Amino acid sequence: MELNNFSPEEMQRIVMDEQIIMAYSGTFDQTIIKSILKYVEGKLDDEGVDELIKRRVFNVMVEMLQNISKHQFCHNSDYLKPIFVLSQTETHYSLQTGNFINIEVIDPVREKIDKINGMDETELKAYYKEKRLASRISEVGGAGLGFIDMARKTNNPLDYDFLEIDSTTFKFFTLKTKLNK
Amino acid sequence: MNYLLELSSQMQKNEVTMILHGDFHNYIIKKLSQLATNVNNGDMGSNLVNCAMDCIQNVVLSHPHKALDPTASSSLYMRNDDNILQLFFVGELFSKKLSELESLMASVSNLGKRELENKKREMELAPDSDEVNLIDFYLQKNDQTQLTIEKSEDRPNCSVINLIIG
Repeated sequence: MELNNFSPEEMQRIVMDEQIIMAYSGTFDQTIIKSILKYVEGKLDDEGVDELIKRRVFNVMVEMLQNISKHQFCHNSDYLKPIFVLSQTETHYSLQTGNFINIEVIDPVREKIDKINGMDETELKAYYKEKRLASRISEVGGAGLGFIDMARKTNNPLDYDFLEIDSTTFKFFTLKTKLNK
Repeated sequence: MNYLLELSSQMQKNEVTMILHGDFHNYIIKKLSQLATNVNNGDMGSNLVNCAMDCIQNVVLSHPHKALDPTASSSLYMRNDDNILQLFFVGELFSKKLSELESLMASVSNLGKRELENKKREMELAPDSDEVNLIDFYLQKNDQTQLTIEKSEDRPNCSVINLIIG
């Protein structure tokens, strides 16, 4: 590791512009996830955040971090590492993840999120129940309920994008959830 | 360019694993030292990380040697590989306090173990003994551990306190 090639200006500009509280980019294993959760929990405790909001932020974070940990290794290691960012404004918290996604699974993911975004609270509840009953554990260990759970906990649409990168096989999938304060 | 992609790219370019922004005080520093230890795969002695955090907390951020402007939040950047953890505090720094901190560091950084212990005993008797954490840090550090301050002339809002723990 070169110790003297540190140029924080661009990062600092983004941190200030986007009102970032925390950003982590690297390997997402269980120990790291647990530590990130504890740090954020401590930070929210310290700021006297309402218990219900805190629980929601925490639960959505768990979903998003678990999600990224399942999909972090499906790309070339020369590419960018997956990233998690927590930021806040006066009215809400934002949680964002970014990771590589194989272009072959983009359409199913897009359809899934669009369907969820088109549902109201009652429909989401029913859909969650239906999915849970019919769930089959997928190859990477999830039951596909994460997006529904995120939408239910945040009461806001899931904001997503598939960004072009220098690859014919992958895109950079960004997912943003917003929790009102 | 989407900011997430830009940030990810900048973090990779600068070999930064984590950025934390806000106020850093006792409770947060405790959580932060657990996080720093775990991010470094638990390879690093947690005592040294705790000690470094206490040092930052009490010597850099607290009265009477507060170097960072309390009205402006600061950011902490963390880089790590298997052997080294490097922390950068980036924020608005008080030049007078920084000078005090630098002279304090200069006065203790070259002391041997026995001299450091004597100095620590002296300081423990003083009513305001924040410096003890700095002595503790120098007592526990190894040859790869460095604490330096970079005062940037051309980027006044982006001065850096640099801590390398090896």
